[in-house]
Amino acid sequence: MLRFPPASMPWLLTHELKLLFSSTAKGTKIVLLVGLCFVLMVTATAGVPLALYLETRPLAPTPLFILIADGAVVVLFTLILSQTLSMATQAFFDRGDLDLLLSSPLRPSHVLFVRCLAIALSPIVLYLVLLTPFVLPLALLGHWPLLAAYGVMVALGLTSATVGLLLATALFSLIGPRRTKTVGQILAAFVGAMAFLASQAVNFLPDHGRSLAVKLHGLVAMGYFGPHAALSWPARAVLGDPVPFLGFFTCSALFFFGVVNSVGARFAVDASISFGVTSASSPRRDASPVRGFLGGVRRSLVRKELRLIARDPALLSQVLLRILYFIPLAFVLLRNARLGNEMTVVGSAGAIVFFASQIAGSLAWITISAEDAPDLLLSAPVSPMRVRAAKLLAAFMPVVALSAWPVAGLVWFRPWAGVASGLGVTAASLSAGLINLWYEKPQPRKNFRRRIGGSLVATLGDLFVGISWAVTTGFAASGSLWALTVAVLPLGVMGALSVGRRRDFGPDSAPD
Amino acid sequence: MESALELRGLRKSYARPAVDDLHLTIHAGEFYALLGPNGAGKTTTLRMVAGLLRPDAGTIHVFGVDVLADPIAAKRLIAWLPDEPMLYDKLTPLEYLEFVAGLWAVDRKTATARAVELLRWLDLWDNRNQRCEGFSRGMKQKVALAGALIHEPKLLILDEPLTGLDAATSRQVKDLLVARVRNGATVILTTHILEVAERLAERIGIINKGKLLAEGTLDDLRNRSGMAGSSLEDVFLELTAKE
Repeated sequence: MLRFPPASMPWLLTHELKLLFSSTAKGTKIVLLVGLCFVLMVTATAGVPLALYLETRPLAPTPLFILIADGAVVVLFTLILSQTLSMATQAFFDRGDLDLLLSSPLRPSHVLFVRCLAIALSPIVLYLVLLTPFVLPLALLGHWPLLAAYGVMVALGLTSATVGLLLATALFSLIGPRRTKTVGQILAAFVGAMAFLASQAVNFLPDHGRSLAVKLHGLVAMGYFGPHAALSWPARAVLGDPVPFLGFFTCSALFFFGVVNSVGARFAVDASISFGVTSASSPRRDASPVRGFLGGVRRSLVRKELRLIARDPALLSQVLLRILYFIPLAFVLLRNARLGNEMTVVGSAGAIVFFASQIAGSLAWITISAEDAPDLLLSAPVSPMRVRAAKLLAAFMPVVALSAWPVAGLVWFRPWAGVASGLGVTAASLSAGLINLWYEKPQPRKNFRRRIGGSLVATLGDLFVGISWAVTTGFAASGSLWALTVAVLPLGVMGALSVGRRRDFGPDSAPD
Repeated sequence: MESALELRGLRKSYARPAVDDLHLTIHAGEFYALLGPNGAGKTTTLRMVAGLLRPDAGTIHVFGVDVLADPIAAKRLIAWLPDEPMLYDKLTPLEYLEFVAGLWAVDRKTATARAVELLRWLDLWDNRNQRCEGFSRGMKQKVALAGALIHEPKLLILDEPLTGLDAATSRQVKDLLVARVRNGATVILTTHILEVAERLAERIGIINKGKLLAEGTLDDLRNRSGMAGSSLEDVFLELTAKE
């Protein structure tokens, strides 16, 4: 095994990467195995046939290819930036081992450089994995310059990490540490949903984006997407054209090194300020009167869960992204229901049900499994099932508030489709809640910023059952009796999942 | 005399026995210190009493209520305070107390009045609307203590409650516990700070390897160990060394 000299930069980077990828979660190995199976399956079914088809054909930067490559770069950049911004913001507050590293004889600039590099590299791993089934067979069958796609991806990671770092530092200066934590996470969610929101915005243009398409066609005709135009650089870089590739990569690297060198020290100072803000109490005279308590076991539990969700920006941002997908879809649904576009109504109704189930699943996962004081609840004179019922209720309340208006609007315009959507949202949300209840994995809230520690069965079950209910709702909204047949699928999966459910929620359910 | 806690033949094993045929009676209104070296079975015993662990064998009665047969009724009488405060960082002390009072179904008006009284008593009044995430360990422990007291438990179980507290906070906690006992509550406390047990406890139990080695007042323990006039520390070391 390759060993670097202790305290060197590569040694430190190895440490960072080890922390990132050798997660403590037991399920990580399963996730890696599932990921490998997925890559092999896509390679065999799509990557290799595509490579065989293109083996003797030249890969040229045609206007269409350039347009697609530019679009992909923009979409990927927003997705990666969302993650790097979130990670950079979090780095201010989740110090982890930063205190240990900064108090060691390592040079602080090296520590911060390596940490920024880890922020840049960690979000692109998923995309590198997704590229592999397509790029690798093509590279092996003669199109080896396509390997440059990996370099382009790394360049995108470096650029987005740099922008994320700059944004986080700017937010810190402008609005202070406390607000940076919340605003940074919300901004990250908006950036992540930007591409989707832009695609949905087209639906609200008066001519459904037809004039935009005409304009784009005009730009293509004028040569803006020609093989030598500036906009062709991303596509040519992906295809391994040396000049655009080196230009793209060098610019990204220089941008990264320049910003990390100049902002790195500032970042460290900000991090130490944020630590002071969260750890030190600042007692001040508070003359506000104490309002009377509201009381009630269920009410207390529900209120506590809603407060904790609303006050944790890192957890909230995970749900926010799904809500950002949900809202424009709801508008599209209502608009098409009003205009009588049958197929779009059916599709949108299904999509609404899917996102409602995803929101319910995320919230149920947070309320049920993220518990900082499990012993307090276990030592209280309340049955564990009553506690969980209240937690589920807290998870469903935002879903009901979100889904009520599109469903009510749909009932107004298309009564049967509205009823079907309402039933679909209810069934999907209940299923998501039950899956998270059955496969509960209690952990402190701070572990929930990434879903790695969650149950793999719950995550996959959530996704599959949500999609199944969405398809069922689509059939039901169109008035097709196929809905009854398709409904067997989510019900069957729920039945299968219920077999392996956790049954004991009482004493001894948590280790001593 | 009414017994607050009765343990009969209590057993709990993991890889090895943690609690082994433990018999213990604690009277109502008593301040009882349960001492023992690390891994003696103190925490396991108290977690079983608080309903957090199920024993392998034996019975637990709290004020006559069978903890295993009717855990909800028993939990109404108990407060459990471990060394790591059971808190929510994103809640303020006031919100935390409202939540705990809700769990124990304390009447709203009573809960509000008690919260005000406890927050003032524990010097948390000025911090009542600040989130716990910025609090020091001592402040967090005081919030957790207020939570344990808001439902006026008849039996207060504290596992190492003074760990990591500064002298002033430690004094506040001890005064509060003594006041509770004067008002009729029963307190069971584990601690490694033997002076605390020596000064506060009416009776002391010494446990090792899951068994009760000795029990009684400090004088009883001195007599038992044949070390008249010695400190509790000497007595404790003598008794546990014999095992």
